[in-house]
Amino acid sequence: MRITENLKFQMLMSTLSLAQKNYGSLAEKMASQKDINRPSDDPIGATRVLNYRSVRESIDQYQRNIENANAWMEITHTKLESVLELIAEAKEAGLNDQSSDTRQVLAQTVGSLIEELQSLANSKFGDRYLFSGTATDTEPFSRTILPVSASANAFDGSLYTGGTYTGTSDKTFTVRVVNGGALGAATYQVSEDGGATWLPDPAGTVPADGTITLGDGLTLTFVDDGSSPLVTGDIFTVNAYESGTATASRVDDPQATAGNTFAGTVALDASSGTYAGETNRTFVVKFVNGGGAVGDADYQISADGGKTWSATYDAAWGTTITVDSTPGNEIILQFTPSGPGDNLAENDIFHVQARASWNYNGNGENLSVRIGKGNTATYNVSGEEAFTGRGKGEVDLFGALETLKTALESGDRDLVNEQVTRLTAAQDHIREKIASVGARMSGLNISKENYQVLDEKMSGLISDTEEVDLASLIVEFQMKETALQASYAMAVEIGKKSILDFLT
Amino acid sequence: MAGINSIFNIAKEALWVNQTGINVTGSNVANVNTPGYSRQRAVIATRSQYDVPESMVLTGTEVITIERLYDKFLEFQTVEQSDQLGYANERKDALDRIEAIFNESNGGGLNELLDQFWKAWEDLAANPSGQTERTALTYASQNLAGMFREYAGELYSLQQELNTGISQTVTQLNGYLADIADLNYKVIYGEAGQNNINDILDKRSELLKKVSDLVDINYVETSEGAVNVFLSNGIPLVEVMRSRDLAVQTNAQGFYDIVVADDPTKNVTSAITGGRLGGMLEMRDTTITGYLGHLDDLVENIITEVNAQHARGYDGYGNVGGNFFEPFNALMGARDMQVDAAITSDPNRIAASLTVNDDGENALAIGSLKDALIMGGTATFGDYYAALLGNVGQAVAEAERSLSHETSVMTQLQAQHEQVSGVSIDEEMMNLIKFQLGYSAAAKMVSMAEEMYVELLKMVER
Repeated sequence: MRITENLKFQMLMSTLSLAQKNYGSLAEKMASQKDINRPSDDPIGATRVLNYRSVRESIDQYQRNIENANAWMEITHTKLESVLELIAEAKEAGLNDQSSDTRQVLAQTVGSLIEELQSLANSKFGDRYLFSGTATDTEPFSRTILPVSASANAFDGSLYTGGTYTGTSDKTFTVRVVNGGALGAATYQVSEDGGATWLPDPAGTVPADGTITLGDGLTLTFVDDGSSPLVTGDIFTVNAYESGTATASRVDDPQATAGNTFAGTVALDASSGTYAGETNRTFVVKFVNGGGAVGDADYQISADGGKTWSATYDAAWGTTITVDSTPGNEIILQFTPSGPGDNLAENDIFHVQARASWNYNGNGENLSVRIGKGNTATYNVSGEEAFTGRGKGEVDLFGALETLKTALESGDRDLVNEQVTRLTAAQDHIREKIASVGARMSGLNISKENYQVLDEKMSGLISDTEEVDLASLIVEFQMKETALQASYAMAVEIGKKSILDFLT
Repeated sequence: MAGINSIFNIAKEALWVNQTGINVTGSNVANVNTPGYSRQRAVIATRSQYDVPESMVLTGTEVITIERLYDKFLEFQTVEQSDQLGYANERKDALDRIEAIFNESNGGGLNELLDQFWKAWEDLAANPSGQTERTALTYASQNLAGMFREYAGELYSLQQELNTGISQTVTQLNGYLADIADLNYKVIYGEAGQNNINDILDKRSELLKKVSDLVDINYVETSEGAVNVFLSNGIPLVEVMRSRDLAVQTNAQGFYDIVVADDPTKNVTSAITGGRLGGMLEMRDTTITGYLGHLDDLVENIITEVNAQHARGYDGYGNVGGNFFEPFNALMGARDMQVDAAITSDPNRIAASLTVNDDGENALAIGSLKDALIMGGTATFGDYYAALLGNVGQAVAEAERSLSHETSVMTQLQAQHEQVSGVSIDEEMMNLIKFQLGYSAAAKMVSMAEEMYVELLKMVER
């Protein structure tokens, strides 16, 4: 084999560059402490590391979600515990020896308990109401102007108040039946001072529709749906609160969405009834198929806030749309365009809040959060469930307390006892809720601990895959360093030996 | 009988031959580091002196030719290997740059931004009316869209760069082809004129290797000494003393096709599968187009799925959700992904809720797209991207292996070439001593013949 000068240098160059490349890549690994510095270093490993990192991000999010939900439930737990104490106090008031002197004091105690319950039920977590269901921006409980029927009354129909109270301080209206009889025949009188003076004099007749005027903008409506009509001596009490809501306004005014094209007005039609459903609902009307003029545009209706929609209504509809067609309790929206050419556009949205509970403004829906792949956890207790007798709720706690207060004021012993029984049921119900919150929290804590373990495993996997084993890397590094030094030494020596050294 | 003159003649020939030997050695030593230089050797033979009777032993010497030590088959292999090496080099260069675009080793890449995007949705689900959460989601989405734009944009500009490179390479190739045709001319007329054409042959071999580095070719040597060069599909590039230029022509995709310059209907793009040009074409038309296609696919699905779910919800005002991202069919591809202007200008337009009551359920539904098997029904967005990254890594690793293989084959061939054609200083020094001795001996003969003449003349004087 002929070894030429070029060959010698070529061989030298290739060994030198190989040694330097090895040395360089090891130096990079030493500096970054990583085995994978670019995808081609280990394509499969690099792909795995990406997946591991995504899993860790998910775990991080799940943990954050769990912490959030836990904090929420922690506060829910505390608030419900306070409600439990409050109910116990109210029961104590109801069970107390009730001389005429103490009764008024006890009634005041119950009154302040009602206010305390109000503030507990309207508690917030950050900016969100704890007990509003999913409508966390809406204050769930408002003061309610509530009619109470005395226990000795023969009348067993239902009653509700209407109108907006215009008085400047809290007031109690008392209604007594002067001459019994059916609606349209019976006569009544109203007292605004606890029974000292009665008006009108002579007694007025209850109209056939059952609605009498109390004063200060309030009305009281009798609905004769029981077995016994109004009987002489029946007593009814209405506690009116400043800024309170009358129980009859069960359907709010329709709301138009800010982005709507339609500039006209939408109102409840005069022939709308009251809402007859069991839980609070949001009815939504959405225009589809490009919209059109009032009476002509195609629309859909949703009874669950817009999650699911009815089939498209494409027949002419005049000026009104019925969103709830329960006979006798229809909810009807009246559309009035602002002028000719004021059309409804596609995706114009109008919604109406219909409230089943007198004083509850939230809904019965659940708030949930993701705690794993395809796994969600519910973390709220809705106000409906905890404090009303509607939907998943069992006892109308506010109603019980209001009635207790009125009964104490009027000395209606039977009514007081009845409320104590209701409060006992409420205690059991709240305890049950507290227990379920506790159980959910401990479940979430177990998940959280699992995630901590999983997270450690993942970070272990990541470091196994992409991080260097420093000890073996250093040994390898020293080997390559030696090889590089040898190559350099050879490079210096190789030019030295030649026949020329021996020619003189 | 041969006279003293004959001695002079022989000595003269010996002087001449040895001097030529030293000259050739000198050329070899001078070109020890010249690329493409083939070692030369004076071919020395005896020369009979016809003017003397056959009985007399009187044999002269002469240099028949200056031989170029060369292995034609080795040259053929080396030219062949040049196109493999050029192809491997080009792929490695381009893939290295692609890998740099996709490098996620230190985080901060697409994968992380995708994760942050989904997390922002979940945070919004936990507090649907929170302005902080809405704004954070807007930023996370813009970052994500920006990163997709960056990745796809860089791939796209690399593709454009390769396209420009193809045009430049074709120009370079045309220059080499013209040079080969020119050298063919010199070879033919040089050989006819018996001039020493070794250096021309060396230059032509070098050019053949350079051409082959650019594009895969076949070549044949004609009986008159010219080389004819053909593309792999048989289209001639050099025929004896005439070269045929290639040219570029923009195709329907806006890229250059390679055509024959004097007949642009002859599209030779598909015939070029080797050399740097072949590498560039493959990178431009297959590899990068493929990666861009994957990114487009991913972006299209993200946009479509997120927009579809977004439209099922209601924004902070109770409106039906509009587009979250600009719809894919309005875009040029992943390189223009944008968050819809309505969302960026007003984060309350994010449809976080499934009802008009701000419940956050829709944000949860969009957040859960992270784990949905959407890509081909078998992979999540994250999986799909990880697989794409894995593909890039595999391609780079493969290109690196192939480059190091082709390089080592080339090194072997070069070593063999060196063994045949390379200059060894040791050998040349030995030759130098040999010819120097021969020259001295011939000179001694001249001085001896001169002495003989003097002796002879002295005899006449007496």
